[in-house]
Amino acid sequence: MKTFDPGMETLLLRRMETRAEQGRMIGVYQIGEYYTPEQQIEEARKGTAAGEEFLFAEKKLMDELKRRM
Amino acid sequence: MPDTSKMMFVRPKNCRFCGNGYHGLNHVLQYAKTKGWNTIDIAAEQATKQPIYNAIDQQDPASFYGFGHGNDCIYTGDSELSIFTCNECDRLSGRIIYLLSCLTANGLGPAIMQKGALAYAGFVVSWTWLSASGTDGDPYADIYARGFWESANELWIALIDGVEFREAVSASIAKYNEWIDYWFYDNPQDPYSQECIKWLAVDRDGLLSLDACDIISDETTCLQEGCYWYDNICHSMPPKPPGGGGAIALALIPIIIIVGIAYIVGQKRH
Repeated sequence: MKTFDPGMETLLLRRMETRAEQGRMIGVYQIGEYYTPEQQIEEARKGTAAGEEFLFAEKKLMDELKRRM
Repeated sequence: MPDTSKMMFVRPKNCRFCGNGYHGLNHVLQYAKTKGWNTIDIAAEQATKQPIYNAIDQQDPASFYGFGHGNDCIYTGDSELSIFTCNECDRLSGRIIYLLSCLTANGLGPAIMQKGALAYAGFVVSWTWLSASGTDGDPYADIYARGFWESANELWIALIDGVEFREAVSASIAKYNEWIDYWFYDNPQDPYSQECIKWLAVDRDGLLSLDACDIISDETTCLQEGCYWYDNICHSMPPKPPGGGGAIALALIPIIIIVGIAYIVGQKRH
């Protein structure tokens, strides 16, 4: 799992928070787990393994959007 | 030798958030039946170690598509108890394996290959999906879940259609991309379109496939086994030819030579 530098981590977290505030974030299922938007943000803030996955996913979204613009 | 006409499906139902998988894999199971495959369906309460081991021992299927909870070194079933682990996966030897499960590509997948499987596909990430209708029903009926399950299933659909394993993996990746395009171009106004794009991309890039060549670490054995050695790694496919203009230029060289010779011969005759 990639660990981000603090600047990037802040940016990714902020993007998640913004989408959650706008009501554009939804709970995610993994086989055996469920995370609400609030839990995703909380895990990312705490820097847990799951939180790292959520930041990694957010970065993936940035890259995917950039590729299509 | 495993029976190449037989295809085994494992579809737990009662583990946490497993209902979607139980119904999702049913689409592939039914497709396999319509295509004339001899299917073995180990579903719901039966999707535990002993019934699965018995079915493998008695029916010897050449291919195995299993859904369930997973971690680096474990794949579990309906009761969330282990079915295969890094130390207990010998029964998968000689078969083609696809585990729609979290993280098994980090440990169990390579272990399965070392035990002699022909090919394996699974995920280096926690396979993640969205659903607006919970996880008990058919994910194909859910606007958000459908893309995830269709994309994951596409690998096995392609195998049923008779394509080679690597191409089947590519077909699955193409399906993830098709759904990402749908959320980006066709339905960007949906409030959760970006969430769909995000997790489809994570799942797509987290799909790892291994075949016998991938686990060889020295050049001599690699070449002896009919694999290809380049970039200091053993591959099952030859290196890609130079792309774009380079490839076109290479293709044109023989034509230019022939035309040149024809011109010179023509000049001499005159």
